Amino acid sequence: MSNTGNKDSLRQIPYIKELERVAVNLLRKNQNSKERLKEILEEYASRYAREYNIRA
Amino acid sequence: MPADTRENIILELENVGCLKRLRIEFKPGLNIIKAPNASGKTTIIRGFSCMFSDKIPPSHVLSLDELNGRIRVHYDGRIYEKTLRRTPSGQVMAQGDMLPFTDPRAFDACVALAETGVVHRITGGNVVFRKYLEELSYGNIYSAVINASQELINKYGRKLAGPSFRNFEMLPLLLTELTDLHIRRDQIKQKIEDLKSSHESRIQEIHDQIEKKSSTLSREETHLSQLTKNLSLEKEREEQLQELLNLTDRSSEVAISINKGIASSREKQERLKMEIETQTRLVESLKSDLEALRDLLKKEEETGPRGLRDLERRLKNINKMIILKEEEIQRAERFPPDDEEYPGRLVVDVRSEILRKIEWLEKVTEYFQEKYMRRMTSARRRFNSNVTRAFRELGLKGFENVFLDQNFALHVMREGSIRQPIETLSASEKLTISLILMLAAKETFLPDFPLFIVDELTLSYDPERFWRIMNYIKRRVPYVIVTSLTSSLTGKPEVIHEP
Repeated sequence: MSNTGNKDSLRQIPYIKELERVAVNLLRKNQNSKERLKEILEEYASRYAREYNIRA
Repeated sequence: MPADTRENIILELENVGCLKRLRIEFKPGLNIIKAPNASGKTTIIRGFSCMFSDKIPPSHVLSLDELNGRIRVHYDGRIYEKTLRRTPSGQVMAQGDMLPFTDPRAFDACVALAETGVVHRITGGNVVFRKYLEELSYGNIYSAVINASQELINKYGRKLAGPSFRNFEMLPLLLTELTDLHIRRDQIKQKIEDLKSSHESRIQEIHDQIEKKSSTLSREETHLSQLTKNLSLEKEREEQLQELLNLTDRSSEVAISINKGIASSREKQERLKMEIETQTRLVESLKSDLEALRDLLKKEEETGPRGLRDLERRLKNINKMIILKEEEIQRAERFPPDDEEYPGRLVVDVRSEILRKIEWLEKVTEYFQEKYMRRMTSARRRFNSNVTRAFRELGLKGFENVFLDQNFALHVMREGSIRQPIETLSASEKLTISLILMLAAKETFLPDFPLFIVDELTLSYDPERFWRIMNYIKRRVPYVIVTSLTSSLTGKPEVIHEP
């Protein structure tokens, strides 16, 4: 039960589906795009820090 | 999928490896490329693989002594062509089409090339197999995101441990120190105010004393003047009485009375003289006191309050310390304007921003870890299921089952459920297991990929078992291509087809 709750909460992470789609497309095309992947993660992390500022 | 419903695949190579020009045709079913050693069997496989995978670098394909080469494939009514070109710097560039079933994983799942270490995969232990399944199931994408997230978390962690944020940690202490300095400054200011006020009171007191003394002096001088005037009047009176006495008979009663008057006047004059003397001393004394008070006032006004200079020096020092402390606090509170990353921004804001980034990245890591585990578990289960089916359908003597455990370690089970260590298998058995695992990987991850290629694996093989496996694969994959060593005198690769 708690495991299901954890999975649900993981699915509610902001932008996670969008990130998954972008990362999978990027790495399927080129598995050496690790630096670009980090840039994308940083962009999403910055967006989260900006948009979820009030809640924090 | 019935193989004979498909068209033939024609492969044309030009200046590829040791082959100047070659046209070869693969039919649905089993295609055996027969040729003697060093006649281009592996070159054909490499050249063909270039059309559906980018795993082989173009420099490994173009003939060493050529500047240009070409690979052309006729497939499904279309021609796919790739050109190879050597640049003046010696690099080899490839340009052109890829086959429609191109997949970056195909080379690892569908081309059993001796040099790709197909046997090494099963002898390499669980780490090698995990990596292999990671790549085929795209689990490596999930682990790449996990690794990238971890790297960023570490990077942000290092940043938070940097000097700017360490100074920020000192901020409460710095603010306390600043408050202490302000309290000390206020205390000194109060002392200065008290000292000045006390000094002004003292000055006022001296002023009051001077005024009082002046007033007394004035009064006493008036009194002295009055005494002097009275003495003068008394002297006149005595002179008038003397003149009157001269006009009067000295024996008369009038004269006696006048003489009494003169004597009385002289007595009065003596008293007045004594009083004047006393009064003069008093006036002199008052003047002296007044002078002393004025001197004191001048001195007090000139020197100012005692200890004031010392307090003012201490106040100056405290003010300097406050400025320095405020600058230190400003440095701890805010990034400098010329900072590369956060110019002029408040450290508290940046810190909270970084913490939120870490919070999000940790959630992302957790999400992708969960996905990775599910993907890898599912991949392992499907893979094991395909391996079991292959062994069951092939009915190979001596093997009960081969499977990967939860840690991706390979288990070879002999009949009677006896586990045999991989390293104790014969070379032929290792090849058999490798080929079956590879086919299982293809069927698990690339079920629609139309090719299965086996290069130069027949050397150390039991022929009966090898062809049994090839025939099994032929039933499951539209085009199977196998290279085989022959002692043909023509020296040219030839394709023998078995539908």
